[in-house]
Amino acid sequence: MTQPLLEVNLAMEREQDAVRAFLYAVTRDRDVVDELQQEVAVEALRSYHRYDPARPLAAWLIGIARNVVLRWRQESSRARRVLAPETVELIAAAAEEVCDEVHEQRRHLVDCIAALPDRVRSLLEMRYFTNLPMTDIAARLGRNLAEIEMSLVRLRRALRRCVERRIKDAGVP
Amino acid sequence: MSGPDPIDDWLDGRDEDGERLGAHLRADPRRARELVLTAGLIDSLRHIDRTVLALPSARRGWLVVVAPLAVAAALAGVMMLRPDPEVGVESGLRLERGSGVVLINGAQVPPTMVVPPGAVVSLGLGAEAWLIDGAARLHLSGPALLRTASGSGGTTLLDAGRLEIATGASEVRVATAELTVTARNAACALTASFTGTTLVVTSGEVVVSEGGRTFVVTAGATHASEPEVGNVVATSRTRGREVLIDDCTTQAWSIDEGPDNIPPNLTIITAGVESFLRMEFIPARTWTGRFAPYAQIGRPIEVPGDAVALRLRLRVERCLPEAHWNCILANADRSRVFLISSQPAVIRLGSGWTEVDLPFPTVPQLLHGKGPFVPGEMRRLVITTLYADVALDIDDLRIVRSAP
Repeated sequence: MTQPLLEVNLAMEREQDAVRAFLYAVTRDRDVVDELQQEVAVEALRSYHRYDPARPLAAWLIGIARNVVLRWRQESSRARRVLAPETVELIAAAAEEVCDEVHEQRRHLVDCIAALPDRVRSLLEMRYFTNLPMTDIAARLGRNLAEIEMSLVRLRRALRRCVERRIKDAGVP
Repeated sequence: MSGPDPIDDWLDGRDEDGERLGAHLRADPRRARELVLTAGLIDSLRHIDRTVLALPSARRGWLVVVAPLAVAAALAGVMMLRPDPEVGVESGLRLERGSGVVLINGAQVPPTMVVPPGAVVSLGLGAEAWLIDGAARLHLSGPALLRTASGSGGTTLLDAGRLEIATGASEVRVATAELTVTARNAACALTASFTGTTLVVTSGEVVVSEGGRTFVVTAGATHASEPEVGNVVATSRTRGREVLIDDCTTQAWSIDEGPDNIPPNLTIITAGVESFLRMEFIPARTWTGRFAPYAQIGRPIEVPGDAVALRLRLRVERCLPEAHWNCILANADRSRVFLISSQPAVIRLGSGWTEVDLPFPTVPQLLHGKGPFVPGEMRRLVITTLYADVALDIDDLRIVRSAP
């Protein structure tokens, strides 16, 4: 393995948060994200010789991810469940802009979660770690579906606010 | 419920086709940033250490690989366990059970049920299952390994424990007793990643090439190929020649000892096998917090043409009690787990470090997918266990070469 490839590979690791965020934004399927991220990594490693170091690596990777998503969209015949190509392009452009922010967000997330009440952490665990459907969570907690959906929306927003505050406090733009 | 925000509606599945989100983002492209950040947050939640959530029985495991290879300085990675997808969440493939035990995500299933996309289906010894009216992708794993675990021996493996049936598959039968995978309809009717044709290899070794892509099937294994006119199949006994699949109506072939036993619908035409394999190890952090029935770690290495095995030094850290089916195969004390290869390695829980050789051409079966396997091409090494909730440590990976 050549040194440039090693460097690209290491650098890719640093940019995976943004790539995954983009992939999740367009697929909202964690298994698909895993699969497509692998495709992105493979494609990037194959074509690293075409990478222009003057260009941000994250943008290059997201460009690859965008192509992978569009190809997946075509191949998966899931037209009713995937975004239109122009929407994918919009989101890819946004992902390029927020690469650093996504990375910082992840860094601060643990602290924000630790500050949550147990009950709320449990909800997070059920939905996003165990991947329980919201209907199951509602049944388990004896609440109706709409309540659970709204709780999760509020929880995500609270976490976003928390990490944004911490990013700001840490002095990262 | 129609949520108050198109981004939340999309992420939570209330906007099924994304039309509302698309219209919203076109009207206000700046909100795409918020979508990506929220998606990143959700994705991060999957990967955080569960202990942060202060919940019991964290399903955390890890895997570290260091490879003192001549061509790669060092590999290192971390893998964590991945919770199984839920069963019965949404419509997918309908699975009708024949006989034997059929498990989905570790739970025995009724004779007929809907398998959600992405579910892991394990077929017990002697089990038969029919997967009908595919509406989504389905992954199968395990039948051959279960068979081996029963003591029947042999090198029985279903496509490295993984079969993908793409949208449009109309009927696929999986019969573990015969270790064949047969598309009932014409291969042409199936699409994408699995076109429905099966090679059943009873001895020897088969190298399958498709449009410049090549992979290897060993004796006793079954491998679904993607036959199209012009695709190529060759056995080890026909090294130096290749076999052309001449149409896409063929449903299955049995290749026994060599060219004499190649079915008449295959035509020998040309040559070409790999001189060396270049493996690709996906960066470890990819897998933090997740563990499918396979995991991908590390960075590219090259495997020389005289390589005879991939040697792993590993130990089984634990089998998680709440997922006992994910650890136990035949024995009831959870003392063993198995690694998939053509000769599955049996690793005793708590037995310490063990060296396991995964001989070539087994290794190609560990490579993810059915794609290219050609000289110098990068591939991903897939460390495969039958079930998900097994924590493995791998601290050494070497290429074993033949004696000069």
